[in-house]
Amino acid sequence: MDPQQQLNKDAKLCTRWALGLTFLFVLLFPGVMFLTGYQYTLSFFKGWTYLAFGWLIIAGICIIVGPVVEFVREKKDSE
Amino acid sequence: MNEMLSSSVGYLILLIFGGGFTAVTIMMQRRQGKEMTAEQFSTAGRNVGVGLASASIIAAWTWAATLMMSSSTGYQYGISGPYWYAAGASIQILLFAIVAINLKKKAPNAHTFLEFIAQRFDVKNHRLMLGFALMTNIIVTAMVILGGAIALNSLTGMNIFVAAFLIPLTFTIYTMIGGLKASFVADYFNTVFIFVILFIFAAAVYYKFGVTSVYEGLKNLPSSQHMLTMASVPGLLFGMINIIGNFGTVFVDQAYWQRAIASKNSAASKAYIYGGIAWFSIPFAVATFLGVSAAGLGIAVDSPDSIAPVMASHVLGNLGSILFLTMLFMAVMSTGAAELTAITNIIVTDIYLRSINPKASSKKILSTSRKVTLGFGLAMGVFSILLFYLGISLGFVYMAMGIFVSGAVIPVTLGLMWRKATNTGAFYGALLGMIGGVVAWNTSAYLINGHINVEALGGLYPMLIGNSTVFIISGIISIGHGLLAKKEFDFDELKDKFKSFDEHGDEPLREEVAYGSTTTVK
Repeated sequence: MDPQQQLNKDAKLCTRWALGLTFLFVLLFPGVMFLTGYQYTLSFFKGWTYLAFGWLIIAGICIIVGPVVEFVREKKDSE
Repeated sequence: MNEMLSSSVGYLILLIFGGGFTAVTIMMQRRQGKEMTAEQFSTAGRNVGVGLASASIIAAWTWAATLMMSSSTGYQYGISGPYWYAAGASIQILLFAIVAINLKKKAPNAHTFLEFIAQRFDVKNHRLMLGFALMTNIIVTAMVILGGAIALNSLTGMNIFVAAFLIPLTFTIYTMIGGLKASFVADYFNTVFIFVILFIFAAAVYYKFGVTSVYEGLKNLPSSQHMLTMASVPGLLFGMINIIGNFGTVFVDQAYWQRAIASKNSAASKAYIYGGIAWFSIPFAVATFLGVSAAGLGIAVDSPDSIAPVMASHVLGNLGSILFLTMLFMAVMSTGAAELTAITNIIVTDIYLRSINPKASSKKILSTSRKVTLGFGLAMGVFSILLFYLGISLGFVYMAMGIFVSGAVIPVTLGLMWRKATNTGAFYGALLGMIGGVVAWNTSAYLINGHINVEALGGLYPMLIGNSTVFIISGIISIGHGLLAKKEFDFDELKDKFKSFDEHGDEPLREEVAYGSTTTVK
């Protein structure tokens, strides 16, 4: 694909993701939680804690492994 | 806060990490076998992949304040604090993906966002935005160094002035040698350390105390009404200030534009989306496990800002203090290096090459870049000490920063994405936005408290009013003038105006020296 076409395609995709995630993070989820005034039960609090823990692990693995995979691929390509 | 470690631990951490990263950079340079060029120094060859770019974005956005202040919000506001800190500061990175890809499309060979501004707008806009950008970089670097020095002093008893001089030295040397690429590699290792240490803390809190005891503790607190719900008004107010105030520190900070410039075309936008989602987990986890848990376990501190290291020590003893200090120092180093390379690029591209020596060769640009990096690195240590002498608190600067720098956010973004944005709209939008914000901030502090002092100005409502006013005024002027003026800018003309530093010879590149003036009446 032409680099300019690829950039246009990426721009569309990332705009959707950026706006979608922003809507979810600062309007939809906190909006619903604020308006309902929901008080966390023990099981919901446990789920919340596991979410924080799980998100950290998955993000950490992706960020640690990603550049290593890229480095190995680039090395292979250059050889 | 009582000192938890001896000062020798502080010196040892500085020595190990400063020396270690310098050694890795020298080794990398030798292995590469190619001589460094000015273009390579300032753009890392524009060949960075999505993985390394995401890690670097995370490292640059993980300030010492992210670790300390997010925990403080968890301790004060309960579960809404970590969420608002994480969500309120990750959306700027996510939304920055949109402008990053637009810069790639419209000015693929630019070195700084100000270089683009110079071609898109006129000379006075370039100078004004240059002022905003330098102010952002200098304040952030000073905050980062001072935050690190205060943490080293309070955790190890290390002399605060010595720490403020030694901290910038650790990242200045390897940045001076390896340029932006060295900063990327160091960022990767720093991010790995931060994630691993955070995982250790989270696992330790979970296994040592369990979730139930924390929950029961939060339920029994006098402030339990807002500790276990997202419907917390102070939490929401903090979230709003965090959202509005942080736009300036991303969109006007060359450090984030630089990561887009250095990335491959295919990586630029994805890196910000992945980086934003992954970064969310850092304040969310650290504030949940070291802030909310500390409140639930009934740990008492003199100031909520110091809850994270106290909780770290409570969970793992001296090992916890060393791990926390290491994590904090990693955050300081990577943000410091990112800011230092940003300042260097701005000074070399937008001041030196534009106004002082447009004929500079690639070799000359490289040597100037290295001198600027060293000079600024050392000068920032002195500036940080000056801030400390003036008694300006870090939390205050963090919250107030948006009022001073966010005026440029809408004009810069419109300049990149909207054909109708005008020189007059951008200039007066940015300038009057900042002035209006400062006036609204001071006026509201006076009306609410009856007087103006640091405490009154630091209140949640004056901060929110000041930060919002900046956006409202700059948005109305920039968009309003663009609509009224009925002028359009042709972005296609920009593409060939930015040349590689390595193409610089004895003759200046006319297009780079000239300012943009291609706005045409439709």
